[in-house]
This record gives sequence, structure tokens and C-alpha cells, in this order.
Amino acid sequence: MPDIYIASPKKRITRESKEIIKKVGVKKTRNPLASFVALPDGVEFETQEKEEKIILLLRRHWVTNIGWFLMAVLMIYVPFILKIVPLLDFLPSRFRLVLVMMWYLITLAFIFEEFLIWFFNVYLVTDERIIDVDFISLAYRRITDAQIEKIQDITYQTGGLLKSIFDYGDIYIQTAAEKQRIDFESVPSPDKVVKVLNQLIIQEQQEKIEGRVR
Amino acid sequence: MTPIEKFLDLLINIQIWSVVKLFILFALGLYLVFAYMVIREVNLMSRTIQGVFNLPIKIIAWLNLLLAVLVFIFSLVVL
Repeated sequence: MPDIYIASPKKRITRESKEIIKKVGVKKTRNPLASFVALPDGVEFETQEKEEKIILLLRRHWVTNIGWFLMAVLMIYVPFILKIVPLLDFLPSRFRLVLVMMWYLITLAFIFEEFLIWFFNVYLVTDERIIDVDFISLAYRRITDAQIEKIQDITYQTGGLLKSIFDYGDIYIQTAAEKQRIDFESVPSPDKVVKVLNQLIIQEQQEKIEGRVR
Repeated sequence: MTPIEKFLDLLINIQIWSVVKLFILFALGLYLVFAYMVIREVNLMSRTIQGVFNLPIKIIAWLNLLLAVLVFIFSLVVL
């Protein structure tokens, strides 16, 4: 009997992705600053293919930002400390004013750079592959990806006080791709990420059997 | 007075605050270059990952450059 309705590949992928997310029990969020985003709306990446769907967008857990955040707070208060401890009093007032302005420029740059590194260093899980986007310095980036079907082994590791309290950890993905290991570092809910990856591997095998491989 | 004597005289009478001013302006000049590089970095990052939060990030990067220019001009006038 001929098929009466055949869903378009895009619709089918969206439906299947939603099913995986539901099965694993991941909640959707619209927060653009979240560290764990399932089926993100309005997010695309440079090498994304037409029918490729982002299933998970991961960043380092927000707790990992505490170090630089405290440093930034301290930097903001340094000029006030200098009022109490007059180390720069030998300078004419106009020089002190300019130095304070320069200090705040440096503080702003420090905060902005740290934020950019956190925000744009992402790990993506699509229905076809996993991608690790790393921005190493001002104008240098490294993008590593591996097809889901090439994943051979997934290990995740949590431990320590902070990781246990805030539920985050590292995921090590062994692949048969050119780069043999892709690491997702300090991502929230690593158990759920592993479950999603396992579901995708099963789905990929199913597609292979059914001859639906893209 | 020969040119060399003039130069030596200038070196002797040079004020310490003029040297400090030059150093500060040089540092601010470097910051201007850095602020421009940050804009390029943000553009590269936004091209790699396109999302809804990219516009505010670009605005912050441009504001950083604008602030750096203002501080540079302010220092040039005040110092």
C-alpha cells in the first residue's frame, strides 16, 4: 500500500529530536545564557547543514565562572582601596584620574573577555554529529567535530564538592574520527548528555538499518 | 648652540611628567588596538555561533572601543 503522508526530513528530524529530549527528561529553556539548552531556538552554527538540527547546546557550568567573577569584583574595588591606602598620592590629581579610568577600562576588558570565552566556547550535539568549538585567543579558533556514528565510547566523570553540589562534570567521547577524543568539560547534567548521545547512537543505527542515512 | 647641544639641553630639561604622559598615551594606544581586536574577535565568534544574544555582545564590543577613544582623547587634553 502506498504511503498517504510522508513527513519532510526536517519535520521528521524535529519530531525525533523532541522525542529524545522527552525520553531523557530534559527541560527546555529560552534563557540565552543557560549552560544546558535543549533544542535551542534561533541558534545556528557556521558549518551547519540544511537539515541538521541542534539537539543540545552546552557550555561550562556557570559555577566555573566564580573565580574570574570574584577577581572582577576585587578589581572594581581597587581604586577605592587606594583611597584608604594612598599609594598613588605622589602623582598629580589629573594623572591619578586618568590611571583610574585606565584601570576601569582594563577591568571592563577582563570581564568582557572572560564572558566571551565562556559564552562562545560551546559544545554542540546535533542529530548528525558532536562539535567542540574552542576560542583560544583573540583571533584563533578550533572547531572539532565527529559524526555520531563514529562515537566508540563515552565516559563521564563527576566528583569533588562543587561538581557534586551543582551537578556538573566532564564527558570524554572516544571516536573513530580524525581527532580521537572530544572532551566536554564541566558541562551541567553529564548523565543526561550521555543519555542523549546514547539515544542518538541508537537512532543512527536504526537509520542505517532502514537505509535513511543522510 | 649646536644641534647636539640643543638636544642635550632638551634631554636635561625634560620634565618627568611629560615622560609619564607619553607612557600613558602609549598604553592607551595599545588598548585602542586591543579594543579593535575584540570587535574582530566578537565578529568571528558571532559568525561561528549565531544566536539571539549576539547583538548585545556586538554593542558592548563597540562601546568598549568608544570608551577607549574617549579616554584617549580625555588624557590627551587633561595631561
